Amino acid sequence: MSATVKSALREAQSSPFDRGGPQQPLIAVEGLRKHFRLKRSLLDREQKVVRAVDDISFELRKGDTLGIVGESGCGKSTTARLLMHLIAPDAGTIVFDGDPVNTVRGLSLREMRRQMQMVFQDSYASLNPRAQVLDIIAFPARIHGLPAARARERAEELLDQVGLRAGQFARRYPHELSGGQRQRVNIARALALGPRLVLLDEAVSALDKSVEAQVLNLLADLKQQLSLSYIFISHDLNVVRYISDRVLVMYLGQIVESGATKAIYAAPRHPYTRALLSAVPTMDPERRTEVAPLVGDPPNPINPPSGCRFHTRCAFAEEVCKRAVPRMSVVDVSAGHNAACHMVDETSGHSRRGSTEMAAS
Amino acid sequence: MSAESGIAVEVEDLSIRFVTRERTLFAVNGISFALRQGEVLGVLGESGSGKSVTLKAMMRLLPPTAIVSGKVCVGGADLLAVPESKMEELRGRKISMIFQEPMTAFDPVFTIGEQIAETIVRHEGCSWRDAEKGALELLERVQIPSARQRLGNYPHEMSGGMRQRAMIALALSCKPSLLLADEPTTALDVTVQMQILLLLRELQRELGMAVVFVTHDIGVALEVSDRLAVMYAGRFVETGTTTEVVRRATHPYTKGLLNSTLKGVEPGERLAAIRGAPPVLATQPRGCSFAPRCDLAMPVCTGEPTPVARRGASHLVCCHRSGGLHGTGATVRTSILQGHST
Repeated sequence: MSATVKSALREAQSSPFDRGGPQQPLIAVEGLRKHFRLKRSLLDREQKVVRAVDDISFELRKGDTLGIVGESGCGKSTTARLLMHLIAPDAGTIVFDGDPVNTVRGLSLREMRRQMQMVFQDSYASLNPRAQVLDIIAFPARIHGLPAARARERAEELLDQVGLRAGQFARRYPHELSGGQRQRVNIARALALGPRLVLLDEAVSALDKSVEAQVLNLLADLKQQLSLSYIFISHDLNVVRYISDRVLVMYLGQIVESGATKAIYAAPRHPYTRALLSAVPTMDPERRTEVAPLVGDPPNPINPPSGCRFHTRCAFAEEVCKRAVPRMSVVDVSAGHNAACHMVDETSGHSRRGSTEMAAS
Repeated sequence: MSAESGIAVEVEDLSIRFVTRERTLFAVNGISFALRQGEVLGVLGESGSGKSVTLKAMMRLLPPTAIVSGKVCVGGADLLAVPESKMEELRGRKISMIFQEPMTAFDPVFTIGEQIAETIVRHEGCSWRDAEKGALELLERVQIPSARQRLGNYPHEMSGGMRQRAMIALALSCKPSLLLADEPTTALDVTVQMQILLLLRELQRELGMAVVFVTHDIGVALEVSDRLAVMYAGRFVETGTTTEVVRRATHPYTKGLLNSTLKGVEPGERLAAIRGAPPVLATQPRGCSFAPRCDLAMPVCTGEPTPVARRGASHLVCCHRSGGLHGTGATVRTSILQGHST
């Protein structure tokens, strides 16, 4: 399907909530920041600050799936929680389809959450163990003012939609379901208010591979039927490549590279992205990995390194990397491909600036 | 020479049931394999397939509710039959295990150095000073930077990757001939995972250990294994060299697993998912446990014991669809052994 047909379709399917039109990003995030201050003990000279999310900006186009990847502690889950306002950001603006979120003139949190919902990794912890499946799914609609009977009817429809027969599953409790079934219930609940954006935070990571494929197929179907957009957070680079249109790579609270999935996977420019992609285990027993792409563990996000945060693990680090914070530079305009690396920035003074070759990697 | 070609472990018809007042779970239903010194067997399976329980049974770490039958022969002794005192002697020296979560393997109130040295003193009977020297060498061997300082660290003071290295050092402290690895890299980030996999491969070659490496991740299994066993509902459904199993996958379950890796699948393409969910093992399966989820299932699949078909020198498949000219049940075990030693 060509891009124009796709966007025309998107327009035709768009819900009455679609206020900004097809060109308006569904969500635009600018300068989002969250620092956690740790309790200072008597012996600590300096205040310890976890820079969980440090000044990140990105956009999600309508109908797209945006993948966010990175190692533990990179801030990808905190980002999702900030978007949902489950924790309050320190700074930054979130604009949902043209309306700023949580400002006097803009979208209230309640309205925002009607349109944006989240599915978590732990399918069991996110369900009330004492409620039956049908009541769990009907709950959000009741909170938002639907009569109980109508909410239940709607919940039955949703159960069917996520591939669980209402007659069989409606009266079950969460512990009577398998992991895959529980995650389907979580998805059904997230869809209860007819959202336009669903945040999936490691939503398939805890599932067995064979079940994961089923849930990924379900997510693809739902996206098409309900014209949803997804933000898909995962540490599994194969899954992200499969499901995402665009990808953000995060490292210690910052975005280091972003762009169309194809461009990033085919020609990553940030040394961290390259390392991450080459650390994915092989699928060919005759071509095993021989050299570890990175040494050491990810550094602690408490008081992260100066300059480029990756310089402590980077094979190409030079003086400038320790000193100056790299700015987002354009790699390829058409793919929206950007990287925050001194080697991409022509003006940085790094000896390898502008060269696409990274001989050592 | 004999040590090189010697059999490190021979498991024969291992079955494990968990019996409680309410119900019986048939966790492992007759698996057999043999492993030579210096060989790595990857056991690939999903949650509940019985792969971790198999390792724990081999180490005799299961609770009394578990009923274990069969044989686990290591160095001429059947581990399932020896008295507990003898088993304590063998653990660490002959057979050792590493876990997914190193925090559970270490005692939080002693330093890493103390714990490794204690193990050495206990098994080798040497002085504490020599044992401490040994502990330092081990930490250096598993490539922990500034090993001398690290000896004085408590487990919680180390990062996940470092703790995993320390646990490997602890497991190898008495040079076991057989190492059981239970998803040792699952909780780690990809970049750290690759470091640990490479380290394990290097140590395994250096020490000539046999390794049984249990994982749910096909990529990880391919990185470390010489041979693969695909496990489903407490049985091996396909075994062979890693290349055989990947290139000529025959069992529908193996094929389904390989398809679900997403490698080489175009974005947006429909995934060939295996339908349904893994079975609850409340009854001893008669036929093929995978039949309810299998697109190729025939009436015979659920009714009759699954035959074993040979696809290559050591490549065996348990499936009615594969012909099964090689008999059932008892012959599976011997043919795995034969296939292995030819």
